[in-house]
Amino acid sequence: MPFKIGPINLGIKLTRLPQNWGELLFKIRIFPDAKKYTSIDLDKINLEEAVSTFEVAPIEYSERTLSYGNTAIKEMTLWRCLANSASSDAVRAVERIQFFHQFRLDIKTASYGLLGEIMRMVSAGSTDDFAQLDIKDISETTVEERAIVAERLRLERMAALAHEEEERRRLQLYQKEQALVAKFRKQAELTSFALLFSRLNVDERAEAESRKQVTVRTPTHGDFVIPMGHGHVHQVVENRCVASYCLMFEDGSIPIYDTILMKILLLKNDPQKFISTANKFPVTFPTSVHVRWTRGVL
Amino acid sequence: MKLRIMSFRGDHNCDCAEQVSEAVFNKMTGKSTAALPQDLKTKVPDTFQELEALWREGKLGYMAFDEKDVMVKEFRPEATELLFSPKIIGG
Repeated sequence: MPFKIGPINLGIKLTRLPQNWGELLFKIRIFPDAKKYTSIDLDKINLEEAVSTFEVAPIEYSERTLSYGNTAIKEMTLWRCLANSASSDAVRAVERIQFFHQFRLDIKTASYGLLGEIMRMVSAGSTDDFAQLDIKDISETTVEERAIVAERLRLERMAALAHEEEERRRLQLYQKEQALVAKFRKQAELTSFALLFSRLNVDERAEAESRKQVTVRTPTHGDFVIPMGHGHVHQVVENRCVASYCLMFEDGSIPIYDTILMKILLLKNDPQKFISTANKFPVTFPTSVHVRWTRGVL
Repeated sequence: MKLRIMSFRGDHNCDCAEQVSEAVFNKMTGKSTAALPQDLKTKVPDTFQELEALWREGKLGYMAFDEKDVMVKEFRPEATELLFSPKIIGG
């Protein structure tokens, strides 16, 4: 009786041959019932029904005993060692067939099953010796599996399509939201820009328009040059840039022109609070700063 | 009195009665931690309703400046405009 693994029948041939000088040759040969197998390639089921051909290599293990002194226990131990290696190798050879995973066979269980079958045949003294077919079609065996796989693929495809549709919908929603946010931000910037310019005097406006900065003179801490955008505020004392400061709102969503106005108002009213709150950065290299009153480059 | 707030919307402003302005000023500058009285709350214009959220989240500590860009530390009823600037940190 051949041992079945999925659609493959494995024949087991045991040989025990006396050799010269009392030696014995033990041989296990595990061979498939066909040299080649053909089946429908289930992986291509929805593209084209392609017929694929597979081969299962036969496995052969042999061992020669020492001369004389062979006992039954020693022989069984030797058979057991050979069967162990041969069974696991034979299962691995079958496992290499591309569609083997569809039969959901446990490799370890199959190996132990084959090992048990070999040892049963050793005890019974039987052996398989059937003629190998040249080619065997195993498509019928896989019909049921084929239906299962087709259904699984259909469900996976439907899930993928639903996922794609959901992603597309989310992206559209996100883009719509982003467009609204951009419009809202633009409007907020225009409003804050109008507020800033309504608070600047004539000289400050001219400086802001021409040099993109506003200079604030303080009685105790020198001049401060505030850029009309992101960037540090430069402190200028006696025509020298002595430090730069970074100050911002705790809430980062407030438009930049409000931040500029806050710096201007705070420096005009409470420069000490500005200096104590802002992070101070020392000037490590000469910085070119234009101050409205001096019109010089420091 | 005109109240203006620097907010994520830009210049967020409205006209309020003196009593309401004082309550808002005290609340925003952190002088008062008490909830705004219900009768005053109804008088706060709709555009300022979101201030309630700021108060609930404790986002106070605003600086206030009058129409002449002078920092206002105590409420002055004679001021015609109050500009509120949110809390600042070092960057």
